[in-house]
Amino acid sequence: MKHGLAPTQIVGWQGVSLQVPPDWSVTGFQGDAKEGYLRIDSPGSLVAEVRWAQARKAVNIRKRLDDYLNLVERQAKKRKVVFTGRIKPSEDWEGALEFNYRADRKVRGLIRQCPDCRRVVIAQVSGDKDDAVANIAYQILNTLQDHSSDGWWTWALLGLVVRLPERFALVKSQVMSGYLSLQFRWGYREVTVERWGLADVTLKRWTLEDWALQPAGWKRARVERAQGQARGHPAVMLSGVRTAPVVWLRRKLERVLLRRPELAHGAVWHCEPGNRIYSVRVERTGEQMLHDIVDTVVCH
Amino acid sequence: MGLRDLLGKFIPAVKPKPVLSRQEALTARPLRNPLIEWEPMDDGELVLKVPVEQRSLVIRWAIAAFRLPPVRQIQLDEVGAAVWDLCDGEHTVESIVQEMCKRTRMSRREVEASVSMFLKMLADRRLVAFIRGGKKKA
Repeated sequence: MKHGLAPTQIVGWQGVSLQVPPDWSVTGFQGDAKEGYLRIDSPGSLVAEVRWAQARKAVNIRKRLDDYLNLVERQAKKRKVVFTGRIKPSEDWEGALEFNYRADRKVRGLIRQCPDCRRVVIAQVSGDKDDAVANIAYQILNTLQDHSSDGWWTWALLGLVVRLPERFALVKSQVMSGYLSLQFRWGYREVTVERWGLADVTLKRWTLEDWALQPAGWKRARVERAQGQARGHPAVMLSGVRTAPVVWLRRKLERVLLRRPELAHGAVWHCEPGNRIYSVRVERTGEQMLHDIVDTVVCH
Repeated sequence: MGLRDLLGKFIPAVKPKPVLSRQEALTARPLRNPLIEWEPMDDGELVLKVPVEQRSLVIRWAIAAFRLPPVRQIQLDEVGAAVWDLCDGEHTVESIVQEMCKRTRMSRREVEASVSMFLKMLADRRLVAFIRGGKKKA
């Protein structure tokens, strides 16, 4: 089966990013920046997978690849499937090893260790026996990046694209049909990015201003609202302070003793072309961080 | 494995539930239960009028004694109503997914998950059945 769409949709997770055709979707992820896994499925039978592990020093990627292929071979033998595999130094990607194997699926991939960030990445594209894996695998693997050049990581899945400083670690994610939420933390600083689908249905019952105050972060908070702009759309800009007594007291103390900002800032906007509502909320980082993050959101 | 599947292994009369692959599920054609009437509302929503099964004597007595309505109403929002409209036995699940992708401008994977869950819920309540194989409307 031929696959005609060019890889134009960016997928980013924990500092790893790659481009896939627009009709592919992230269907699985696990782990963190140190070690993790990402899976992206096509509407058909093609699958792109990336595994990464952070190393402190240079590792023998040939040995890692042998271990991986041995594991795959053992699994194939258990299923009584013939396994054939090949490894060669990559001509296209410096310092990488390319591999391809056939068991019950056709697989093409590469392994490499980034000399800058020391991350070891195994990326592969697999498909059924009648899928043209080689071409699409080359196109996808060619876009693979294991770190960013400017210190901002791209987080992109299911059409949500946002960039954050790499020190922000993902602490909570909710991926549901029609709702996405990513919560990040760096020390005491917090960032929450949310996206709702079916905005036309939602905004029949709610105004954007009322909807903006729905996220849990704005409940039990004294909030000031203002009109603004975000990504070319009219937005509700929020800033407020938590009023829950314990949180309020702790924030006040930290404000006085450690000079930490106590305010939360947020922007909520309706992207009409995409039929989605976006919300970015930053807590205790200052308003500039909010604007910097909002500017990186790709909403339509 | 459920009890039904386990028993089905040993007792031929107990048939295990058929397990559909994703591809088979996408080519199935949902069909509305002909006993169900529905009424569109002004805002694009829909009210389904589902007759209450009166096979049991107790239920018949309860309906008469408490003057319960013989139909129960289920309200679908406009997205649910759009999917309900497409459950005509002609459209496949795949074509419903594609249509809803266009209408909602959500990603295919999100729509596929929601539509599948919604159709499963309708099927569990016996509001739709699935026709497998045969002609398809893409």
